[in-house]
Amino acid sequence: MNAFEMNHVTRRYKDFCLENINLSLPSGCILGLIGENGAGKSTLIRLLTGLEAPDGGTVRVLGEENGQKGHHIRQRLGIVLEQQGFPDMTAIELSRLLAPVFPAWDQEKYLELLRRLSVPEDRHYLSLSAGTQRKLSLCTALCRDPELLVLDESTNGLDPVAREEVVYLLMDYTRDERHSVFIASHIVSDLEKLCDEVAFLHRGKLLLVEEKDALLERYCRVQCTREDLQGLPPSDVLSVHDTGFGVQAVIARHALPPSLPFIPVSLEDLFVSMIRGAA
Amino acid sequence: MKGLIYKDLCTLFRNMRKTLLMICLFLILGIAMPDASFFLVYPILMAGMLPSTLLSFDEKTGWNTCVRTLPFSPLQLVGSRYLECFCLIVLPVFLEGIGLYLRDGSAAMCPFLFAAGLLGPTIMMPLYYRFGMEKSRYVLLGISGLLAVLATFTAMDLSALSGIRNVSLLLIVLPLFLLSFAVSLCFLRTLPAGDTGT
Repeated sequence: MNAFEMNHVTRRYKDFCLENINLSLPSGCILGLIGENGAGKSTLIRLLTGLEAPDGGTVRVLGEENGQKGHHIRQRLGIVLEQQGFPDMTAIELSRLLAPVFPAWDQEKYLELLRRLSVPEDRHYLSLSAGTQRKLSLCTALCRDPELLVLDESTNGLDPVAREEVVYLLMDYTRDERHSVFIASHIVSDLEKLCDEVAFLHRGKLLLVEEKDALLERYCRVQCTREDLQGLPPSDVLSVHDTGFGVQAVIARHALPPSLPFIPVSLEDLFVSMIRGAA
Repeated sequence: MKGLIYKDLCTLFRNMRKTLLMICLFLILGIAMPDASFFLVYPILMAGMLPSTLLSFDEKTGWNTCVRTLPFSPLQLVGSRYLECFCLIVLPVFLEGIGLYLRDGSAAMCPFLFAAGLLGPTIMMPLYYRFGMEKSRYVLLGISGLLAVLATFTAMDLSALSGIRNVSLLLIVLPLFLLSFAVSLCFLRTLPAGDTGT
């Protein structure tokens, strides 16, 4: 079963359009959505979480049509938005607000998560730093064992130690194969550590959805001269960047001339190359 | 709903202590000063505006969006607001009723005070749920202006309204309050968060 499915989803605004999005997340997988600022990641998440209705297409979450009538589905969802908007309460007060609506709320686990992520229990939400607010949101989402965790830029604003801790937490969480994670971010390095699949979003359009390892296997980075690349078909060359001493290129590995040494490509390289290609 | 009411109580006692204090002060003044009926009505009107102020807080902090990602039903969301509204008005009216009874031996003014308190939220809440706090104020101004213009040009005789007193006024306002609840619920049920004030 898919944790969610978006079929031909379109959402139009005056100056932006999310166009014909087809995206699904199989249960037990982590899908990372990578996109530059303004690519439409948060809009896509708002559509997925039912905060907005699509102009066209359908969104199904955990097997059910998403929308305002599907509020009960949200008991099985953990949603961490870029700006969560919790009221100005302490972590303990927040648990008194949220625990009654989540039968699976585990107070001990919640307190343990707060300690693990160094979130103070007695400070009011608005007095916390943006990073700590995000960690608190994550604690409230994880302590109720959701089947699908939706994270919007959830590692932004975290220090490297906290980011690492969050990445480990998410890895722990996805050990249970009922759990799925959809994470949107422009911090590609975090997604590279976590994701099974990646989707690239650019100006409201999905450029690709693919298994991460296969994608990284398919391309490589080379440092060479322009002449070295001349015999290659243009479709195998994703990007060429002049360095002054030659060129740096991202190319399909199957097209790699045998004489050229290559460096494994990172998701960030690939994303930037594809964006440049799309532009 | 319990959690939502708990959250609003926290906000109320943390962020609106001064308003609560003023309500208490005016309440005492209203009972202590027999000639100052303004002081009897004012705290009730202030109490009636508290739910709208809570809604403003929610809009400012982003809770109105966050809450739509949580498994609260529209009935719980709107119901908790209207219940709070009702209780926040009932409490000062009840206290004034006791005070007036002890002072004058009669609390006949209470239904009127209660109706006056309910009138504000009855009009404001559906507008908020449809347009959001900021826009709803303009919409309210627009509606009031339109009514004033209509009354002027059609030479409506509003003097009949002044004859409505106490219980009759409450009998008019209570169904309107329930209608207002139904309309707010309808807005929240049918419109996604991005298309409403929430």
